[in-house]
Amino acid sequence: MNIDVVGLVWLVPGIPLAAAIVNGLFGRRWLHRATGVIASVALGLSAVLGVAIFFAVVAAGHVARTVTLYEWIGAGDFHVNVAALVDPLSATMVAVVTVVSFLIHVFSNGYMEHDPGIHRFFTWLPLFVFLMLTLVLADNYLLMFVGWEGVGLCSYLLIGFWFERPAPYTAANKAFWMNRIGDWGFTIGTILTFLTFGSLTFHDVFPKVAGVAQTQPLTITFIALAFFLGATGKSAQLPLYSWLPDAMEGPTPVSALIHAATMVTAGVYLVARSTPLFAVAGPALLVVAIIGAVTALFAATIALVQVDIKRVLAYSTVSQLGYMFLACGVGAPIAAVFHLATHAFFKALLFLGSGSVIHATEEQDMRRMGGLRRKMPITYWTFLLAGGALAAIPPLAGFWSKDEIVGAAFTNGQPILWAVGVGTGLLTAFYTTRMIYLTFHGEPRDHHLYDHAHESPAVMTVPLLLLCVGAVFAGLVLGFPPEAGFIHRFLEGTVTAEAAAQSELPNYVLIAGLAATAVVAGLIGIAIGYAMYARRRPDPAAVSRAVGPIYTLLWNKYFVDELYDHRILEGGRALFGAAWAFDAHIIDGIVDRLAWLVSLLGSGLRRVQTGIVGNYALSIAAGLLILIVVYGGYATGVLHR
Amino acid sequence: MPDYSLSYFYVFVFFGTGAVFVAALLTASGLVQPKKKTAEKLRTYESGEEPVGSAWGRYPTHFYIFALLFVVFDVEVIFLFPWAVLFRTFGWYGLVEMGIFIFILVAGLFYAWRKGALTWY
Amino acid sequence: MTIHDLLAVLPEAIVTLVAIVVLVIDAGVGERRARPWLPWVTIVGLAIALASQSWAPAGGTFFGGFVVVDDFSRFFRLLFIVLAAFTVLVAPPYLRREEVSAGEFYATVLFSTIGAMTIALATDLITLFVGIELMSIPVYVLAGLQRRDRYANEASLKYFLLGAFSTAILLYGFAWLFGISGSTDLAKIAAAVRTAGLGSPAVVVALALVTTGLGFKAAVVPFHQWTPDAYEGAPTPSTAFMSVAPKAAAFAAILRVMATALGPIQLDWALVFAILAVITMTTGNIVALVQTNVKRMLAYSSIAHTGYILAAVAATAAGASAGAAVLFYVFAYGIMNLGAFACLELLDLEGTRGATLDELNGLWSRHAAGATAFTIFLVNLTGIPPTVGFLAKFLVFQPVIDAGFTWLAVAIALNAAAAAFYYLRVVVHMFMYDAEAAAPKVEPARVLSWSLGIASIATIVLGILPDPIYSFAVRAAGPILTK
Repeated sequence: MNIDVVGLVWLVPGIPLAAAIVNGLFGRRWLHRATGVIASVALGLSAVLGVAIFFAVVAAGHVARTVTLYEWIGAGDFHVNVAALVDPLSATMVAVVTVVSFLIHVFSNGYMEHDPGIHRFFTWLPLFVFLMLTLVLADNYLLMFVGWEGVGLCSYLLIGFWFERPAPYTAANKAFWMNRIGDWGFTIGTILTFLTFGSLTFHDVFPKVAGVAQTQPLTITFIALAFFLGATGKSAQLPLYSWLPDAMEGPTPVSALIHAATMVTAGVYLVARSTPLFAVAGPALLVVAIIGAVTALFAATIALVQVDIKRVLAYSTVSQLGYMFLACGVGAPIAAVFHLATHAFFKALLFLGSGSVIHATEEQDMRRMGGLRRKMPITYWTFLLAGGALAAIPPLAGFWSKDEIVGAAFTNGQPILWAVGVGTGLLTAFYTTRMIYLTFHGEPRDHHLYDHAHESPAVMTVPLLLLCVGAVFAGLVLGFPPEAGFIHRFLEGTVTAEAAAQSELPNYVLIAGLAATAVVAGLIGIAIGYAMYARRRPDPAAVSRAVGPIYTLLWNKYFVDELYDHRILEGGRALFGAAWAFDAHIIDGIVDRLAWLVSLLGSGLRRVQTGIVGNYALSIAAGLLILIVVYGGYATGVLHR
Repeated sequence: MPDYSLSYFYVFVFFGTGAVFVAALLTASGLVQPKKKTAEKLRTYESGEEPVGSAWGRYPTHFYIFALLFVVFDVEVIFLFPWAVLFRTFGWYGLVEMGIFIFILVAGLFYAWRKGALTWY
Repeated sequence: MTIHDLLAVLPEAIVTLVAIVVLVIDAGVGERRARPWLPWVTIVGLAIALASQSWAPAGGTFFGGFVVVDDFSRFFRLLFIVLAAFTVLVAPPYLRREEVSAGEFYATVLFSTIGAMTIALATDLITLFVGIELMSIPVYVLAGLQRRDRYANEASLKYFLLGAFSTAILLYGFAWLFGISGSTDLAKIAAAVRTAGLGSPAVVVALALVTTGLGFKAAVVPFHQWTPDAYEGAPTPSTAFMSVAPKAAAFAAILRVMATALGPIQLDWALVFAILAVITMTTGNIVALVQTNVKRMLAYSSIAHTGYILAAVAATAAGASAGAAVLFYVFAYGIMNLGAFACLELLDLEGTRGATLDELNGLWSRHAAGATAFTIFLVNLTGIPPTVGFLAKFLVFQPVIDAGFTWLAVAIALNAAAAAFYYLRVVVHMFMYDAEAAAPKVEPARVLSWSLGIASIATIVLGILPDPIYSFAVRAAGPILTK
């Protein structure tokens, strides 16, 4: 019996959607905690099918098949279908998204067990998966935009899940508005794409890119930058990154799924998917690389001093996403997708591990933890391995992918970006060590908390163990040997502009040398971390006193939030656009502090609205006169069209 | 059509001259006239009636409803007249159409009657 | 003239009959006993009218060229019947609470609907004008139907005075068109306008007068000032109807007159329309930003939507896709705006006043279905996918750009982004804030809630599966815009 698995691709997002609908309709009254089981089973089926499709694509080699559900808009020369593009890139994404989602759904059954809003949680979470898969599978920019907006909406709903408290909904609003700025870029990019290419479908647009780049290089650059603006919003890059750390107010499984493993990588996916576009977009690619590298370094420095375990992870996510953009920017999109895949596993694991700790202690401040290793062995060991992967310790997953990115920066003639990458690696290793040490090692600093801590139930630890398998082996399985591993052969030709460039044998001496440098940097970071937090030589407190101003700067996250919230609001509103004003209004809850210009104009126009009929009639008559003059001007040739 | 346009041009010149003339006269007289404002002069002129009470006062609209109904049926007669004269020419079609017309008016009359518009109080 | 002519306007005739039946039942059996039944009589009548199209002739010219039945008129028949039915479904709780005469309300809505349907049938200035008057005068009455309310009186009187003023202007414009061509037939006027060109001062004057007159009906800035006062003062169910049906009818008239009769000088008025579109949407949005009363805010937002639709009208040089964009937008706007106003009927407020933002606080916890439906309508008005509101805006872009108005497309995009603020602010108030102690009572109305729910879901379904309506709109725009 031969089943056309790829033809069933719409079931992959369809099943989570069905679960979301069932849970949404019947959850509150009848299903309650059963919603978790329904969602998990649905995601399980979806994951099985997703993995089957992945293998079907692997077996078929370089396929790119479009599975059309129905014609969405069709009029004249404008056609948009609801269609899935199944190729190696989307198949990889589908497999990663469904598997990680499934494990996180299972974990959430334990984590959300006592929450009264559990039915809401298990409505939004599968809905999110549905929209994420729509985004990933879309064969055109418009459908992708639907998924793009949809995951933003779910992210908003889930960050604000505990909306009774002020912090979550403030964070949700912040995320929403920052994403809106990015979405604006996406919209502009989509419209320009349609204008330039006459289509929004990937396989119509990309073959024409090279030709158009000859005649209209500026347009292509502008389109690429517009899409990249969208990507910075969704993937929390500079300058639109600050919503992601705040988004940690949401439940931890949400942080793991949406704000680490999947949604935030949508920007990377967009850039990787549009590689043919970016490849000919001139300076746009350099912009991507620089923003990526700077974000990676910037976020890593902030992560050094955070005390909230989830915030450390959040900044580390921003930093790792920066790596992925760096990879795209230096012409190594395969490395970006590779890192995306490994990162999905180890970062989801880290978040779930932190969730396990938070579940056990009901505390997020690492200063009050310590010594939990003895109480929570499974959590500790999986967390340790995932931390190793984050710090890029060979042979864990993160090493292979991150090393490839940093190496690509060097081999593609960007030694400065390479140095930034290596430096960031050192910082990453340091804050990872610090986080693990503060949480799990040393003496318990809060005995009450320590005494009540306990290992999480199996429904939570089993997903940890399964993710741990991915975090340890994903790199080896997918990416060994370096630059010629499975993922390279698989994705080659799909995301690279010229497949030929990759076919030469990689220079292993150079690769090994670069890898060794990176590993040494990582080890130095770990060593410093160990010295400071295990041996107290030098004592961390002394260090922070010694570098006082720098410490203050990092502790306050470079005052960026203050800058965004106040300074720009006061002074440079025109510069950043009204969107910032919206942000500040919602956040500060000051409804009437609208941009003075707008309110001045608004009340000015309101004053015109006198309520006196005679005045209204006068304005109609005046309008009529102006029309006569204008039309007369055309007629006599005084005015030109 | 240059002549055509030209004649319009004359009209506009005429309008313009007129407007300027009126404005000039009013301005000039406003500048030279003596102004002595007394309470009597500033009062609203209402055909010799004393202006009292608020402009928002209510008054019965009953008469107007009667008048409207009268006008409606008056106009009906005007329509009936030519139809009656040409009755044979229009034939059955005309009869049906006029029937519809009268039916609508009768329905309106029925409504007005049931709602008490025809009762004087 | 044959019986064939009468059959051609069978749906209109049936709506007329339904209106009379409603009035007679109301008067015959008495207000109190008739009240629960009248909405259903109306709905059934409207459904029969819609179905009766299958017995009417499929297409052609009737009444000696005064009436044409084509896909254009059929599209608007569908739209107006749907809007009238929706209005009737959501009105009863408000009418009962404010003691507005139900029979008069439904009959007046139906009379206005007949006028609106007549406009879509017109290929002749006389039919068109009769349609416009037949549509407008009942709407003036609807605005003042709450007789004892000062604001309703004010709304009605203002609307009536300014409406009469603008109708006079429009009629004067029609007179000039007749003077140019010696005919009231739109096609013959087009031929005469083509010969005369804009060089003729008569055409200039006629064009300006017609633009003003039709612009008033559609609430184009600077002819818009009646809108907020009339919408705010009118009883809320009337506002819901007033804000959609006359506007849709105005655009039907604009397409008929501007694209057919004045089509030959399209290039001359397109730029003016484009500028008016930008002024209209910007003014509407900016003033809406500073409103705290949701009803008034929606009034200004409806002006902004006029601007978006007008942009598509300005792009008629792009051919049928522009006409289809107008029709699709009008359809989408009809449902989402009517729904948004109808959501305000959920709250028990004294007089015709609409809810303020603070009064909507915590609506989510007090009436979850209503708050959800309201949110969906607002998301539609904002233009966020996958709603039909998004698609409608999106479809405007292409013809606008094809017609060479890239700056106009940019203006639409910027305006849509700014509009998100005031729409979503309402959502924030409904979901994020706690209800105040003195919050207005919520109406426990089942039919109203169900209608809102179904309509809001319909907007999403149409956003995902727009094709039945969109292809209908493309076909309907055909007879107008294929040259």
